[in-house]
Amino acid sequence: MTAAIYTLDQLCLAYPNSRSTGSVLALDQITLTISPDEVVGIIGPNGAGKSSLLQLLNGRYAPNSGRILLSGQPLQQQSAQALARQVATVAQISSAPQGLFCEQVAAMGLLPHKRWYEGTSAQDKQQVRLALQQVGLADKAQLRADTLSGGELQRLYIARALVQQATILLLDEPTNHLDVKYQHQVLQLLQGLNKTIICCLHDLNLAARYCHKLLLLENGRVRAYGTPHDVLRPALLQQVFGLPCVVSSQADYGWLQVTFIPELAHAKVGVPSPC
Amino acid sequence: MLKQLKPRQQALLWLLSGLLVLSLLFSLQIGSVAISWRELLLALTGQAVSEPLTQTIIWQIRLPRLLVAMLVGAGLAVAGAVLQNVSRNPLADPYLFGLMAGAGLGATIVSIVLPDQLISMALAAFLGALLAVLLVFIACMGNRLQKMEVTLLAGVAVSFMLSAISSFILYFAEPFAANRVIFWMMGSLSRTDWHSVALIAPAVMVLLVVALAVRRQLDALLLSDDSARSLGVNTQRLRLVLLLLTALVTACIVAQCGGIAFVGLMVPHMVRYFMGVTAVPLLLGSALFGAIFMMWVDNAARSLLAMQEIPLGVITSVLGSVFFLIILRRQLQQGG
Amino acid sequence: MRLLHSVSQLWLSGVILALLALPLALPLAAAPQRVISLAPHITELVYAVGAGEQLIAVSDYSDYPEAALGLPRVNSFAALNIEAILALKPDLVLAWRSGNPAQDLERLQQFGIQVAYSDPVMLDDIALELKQLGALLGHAQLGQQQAAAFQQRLTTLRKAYAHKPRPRVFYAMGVAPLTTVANSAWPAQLLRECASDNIFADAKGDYPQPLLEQLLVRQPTVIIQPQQAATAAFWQRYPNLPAVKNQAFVSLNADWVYRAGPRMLDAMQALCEGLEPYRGSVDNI
Repeated sequence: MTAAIYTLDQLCLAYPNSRSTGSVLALDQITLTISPDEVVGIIGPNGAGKSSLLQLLNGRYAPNSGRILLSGQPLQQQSAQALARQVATVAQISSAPQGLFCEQVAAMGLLPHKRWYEGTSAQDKQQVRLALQQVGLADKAQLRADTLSGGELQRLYIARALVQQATILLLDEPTNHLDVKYQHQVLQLLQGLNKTIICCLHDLNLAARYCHKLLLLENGRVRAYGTPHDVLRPALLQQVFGLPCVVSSQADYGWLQVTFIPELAHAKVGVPSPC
Repeated sequence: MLKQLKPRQQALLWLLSGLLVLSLLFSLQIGSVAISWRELLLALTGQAVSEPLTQTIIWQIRLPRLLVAMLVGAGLAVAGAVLQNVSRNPLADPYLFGLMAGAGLGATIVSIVLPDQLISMALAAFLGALLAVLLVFIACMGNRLQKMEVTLLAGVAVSFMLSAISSFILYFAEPFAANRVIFWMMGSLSRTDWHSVALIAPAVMVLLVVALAVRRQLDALLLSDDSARSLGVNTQRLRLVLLLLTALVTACIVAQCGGIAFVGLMVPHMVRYFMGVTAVPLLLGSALFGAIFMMWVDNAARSLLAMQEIPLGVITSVLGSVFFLIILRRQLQQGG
Repeated sequence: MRLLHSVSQLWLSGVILALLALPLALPLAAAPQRVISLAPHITELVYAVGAGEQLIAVSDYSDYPEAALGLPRVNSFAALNIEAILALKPDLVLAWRSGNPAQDLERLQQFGIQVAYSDPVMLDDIALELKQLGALLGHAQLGQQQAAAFQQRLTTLRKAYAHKPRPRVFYAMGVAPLTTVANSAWPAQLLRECASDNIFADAKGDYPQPLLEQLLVRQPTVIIQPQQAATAAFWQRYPNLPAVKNQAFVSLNADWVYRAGPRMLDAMQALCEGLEPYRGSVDNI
């Protein structure tokens, strides 16, 4: 067994904007370890604390209690730049940057590795080109980023994270806005990177298919953490998502398929269900 | 750094540099005393001129004044570019902390309330500008400059507060003194000499060098704070340092030259239009274009009316607003 | 900051040096032949002492006597055109201490130009200025004569009006906004010399902007206007003011009344005489 890359011990995080202490916690007593080179999917209903957990893992928020170790070192003690060399984050897309070219956005990933007087070398440029190629944007390097579609933009940010050369990649809903083809392309790409990937995913089937491990959160607590086979149990999912479902195994390929069947219950509100 | 730029951007920068040198030479010739090109070149190269006065006029009056004009233009434009990128607010302006109102208050107090010549107007204006910055920073301490809108609004409030005090003092002042303060606030380079150059140059240089040193951080901020932070940028510290530096540069400029509106707001926008949004071309372009622009504004101020000067702020505002509207219009048409 | 400090130090020592050097240097030198006047009243005084020929340039608004109109202009209230002044190579610049920017004068002195100051504050100062300017410009005798004549005319005027009944007057420097004079403003001095009560004598500052209400409450019996301005429509709105009811308006030449030159006494005489019809009328309290 290799040493854990992340060790989370009794982590609690209050909502950053709430003033009263002891109110509802965004994350409550999270204890787990993440091993190198795993693809971990964080799943759970809206408001379960998926994004908050990512923000803890990249050092954006400090936990209110508990500790978090990155490669055995306390994460809070590392400088932002040192952290950025190890952890890259791809946030949910908000708006496109005005006036920047794709190449320039991807090249931002060089930032944590550069001192103020260092220029951009030919090698750096090659790296940027390669990253754009990997996400399928090689031909758009000279286009302005605000002309890209949502899916292209998502891939552009992944390219930036690749240029960042971190061993850990945190992604918040990387498949949002993507066509089916690109959903699979992006996840396959991530899978093949040989990096520790931690991503929030809405789509349980994509999660089941591409993640080594799944972390099921509900109301800031860990409900289950393990292989897809351990986590995706119909009874548990029904409890957490409030909808009855069946989990079938794709015998031909070996991955699980979750199908929610609202008709089986009196629940009215649907959760995104696979088509 | 320059090698990273696109050929078009490089060409534009060279063009601006050439224009800067030409403008400087040309501007040295403009003034109420006619000086021939031959005499100008002789005086510049330190050779004996038939008329010793020519030497004095060029070296003691025109050259320092033109250098200050360049530094003021470059300083305000770079400060504006930095602030706009750091705040992602296109309306950010070096006067955003109520600096002008603070400097105005300092000048008013020193020329009206205090006994004659206790401290110089420039020093008082500088202290007043710092007071304004301090007030804004105190007002914004809670949110640690994260929300630039709050900073901008606090600047507006401080601005009104300080100019109200100035107006109150001016109300009781003797009209000549009051007129002079008001004229001063409209901006003028007529008081500038080598001391002004020595005061402003280091501040402007430091701002430019620091801003270029954090060029990658500035570019990362263009996307969003979160995105910059995930690249290891300490956004709070970066903002604080840059806000303080721009405030310092602007305070130096205001103290020496009064209020010169619109340059810091407008020049970066025009440069962005031609050179793009990233830090290196934007900062270099703003510095060069600001310097050229200010030199010509000062030339106009010196020569439009015989024997009299027009306040600089008046000219920058007139030229600036018209040019600005034209560019806006073209952008709108291009946008569809 | 250190630089700023040293600059201000340098500047201060310059001022002190100039002040020390002035009384020593001036009387010894021959009468200056290239003189620049930086204020209209100085121009008038220079011509009055017979030194008009020595003037080579003047300030804006130096329009009296007519000979001054032909001279180049080198400054406005806001700033001096230093380059132009240097180019004219004056051997003396006559500056107005409270009207010209101190920094510019300081700059002139740095270039080695002799600066002498004029700063009359009271009526009697004008006589003194005539005497001093005469001496400075090599016309001591005419200066003395002019000073004496001025003083004598002032004394005569004072004697003639000092004990007359005092009307309540409002000096309408402007009506939009309503502006008047008080304290040491020249017109306020003239009002006192001509034995009249300025209804805003108690205001703060030299050129206060009183409230319209206060004007109505204080019931002036005479309104004085520095020129024949188009203010008739304004005053017709307040027909109940005694001054308006009686059409008690006196107008003065603005150039006489704001410039500390010899013509100040013309203003005084015109004012005192203009007030004559309204002294001791029924509306007077």
